[in-house]
Amino acid sequence: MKTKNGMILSRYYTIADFEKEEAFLREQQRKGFQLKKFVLPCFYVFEACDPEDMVYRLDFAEVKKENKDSYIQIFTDCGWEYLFDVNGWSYFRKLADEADEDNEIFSDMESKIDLLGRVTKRRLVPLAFIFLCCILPQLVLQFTGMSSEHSETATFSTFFFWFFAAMFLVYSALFIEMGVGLNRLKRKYSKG
Amino acid sequence: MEEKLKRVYVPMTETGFYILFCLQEEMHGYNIVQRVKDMTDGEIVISPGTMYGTLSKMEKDGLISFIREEEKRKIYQSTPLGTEILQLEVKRIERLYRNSKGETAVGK
Repeated sequence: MKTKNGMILSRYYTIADFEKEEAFLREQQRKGFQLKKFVLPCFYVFEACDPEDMVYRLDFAEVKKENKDSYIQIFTDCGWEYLFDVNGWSYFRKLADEADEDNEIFSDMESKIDLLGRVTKRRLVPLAFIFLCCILPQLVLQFTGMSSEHSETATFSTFFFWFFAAMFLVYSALFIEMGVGLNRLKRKYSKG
Repeated sequence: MEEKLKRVYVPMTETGFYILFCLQEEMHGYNIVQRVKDMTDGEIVISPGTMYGTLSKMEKDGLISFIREEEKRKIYQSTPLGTEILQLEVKRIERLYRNSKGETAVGK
């Protein structure tokens, strides 16, 4: 969507897609649109600029509030511009350097794999918890309720059974997508 | 606990080694990046995400401690435990080096 001096694009990236998101943002700036802000749930607000090759990088560092300033300072010292935080992810950018290693915020395999570990622990595990402790028990509960002798209870349960069945499918699809994605990244990083 | 840490940190990653080595004196993250760049003639450039992650991990494990903050830059220094682990790693690297030159412990 075009705006007065820029555009708004809607994209949805899961936790395993941060590299695709980085590439998407770089591509927009090459076309002359620089990221200004992100609006939940999935809107990227751009403003028009001169086309540049700007590298975007996302970090998930679990920084405590009192350490945030010093965290950003290390990146600034190394030539990165800090943009903002979304859902625990910090967005950084810098003009692309000829040397590839200067365009990265992680310089060794271990720290890249550590990043995947933090994302799994803070994002994937809580989702699994909701799945196992809410969606799955509810699905079973409503299934038994469907055969209730009270017709009202049965109707009620049938409705919620299908609701939780839909949630079950959405969650399963998300898990597979994210699990496979994170695993693929891990294998890629391990190869160096 | 300390034995477990020694197993985790020895052998050390190259980044981990240079950071702990530099922190034998007080320094902040960007100081270390520059020092390592100079020491290795630009061959090793530690990126900010890796630097921050390693510093916070080492601080949590008690290898380094926070000294003070100057203009939003946190200054750290190695603890006695950190220095002990660094010495273990240095010994390991010295052995590797001697062995790579064909020297063996038996031949001494």
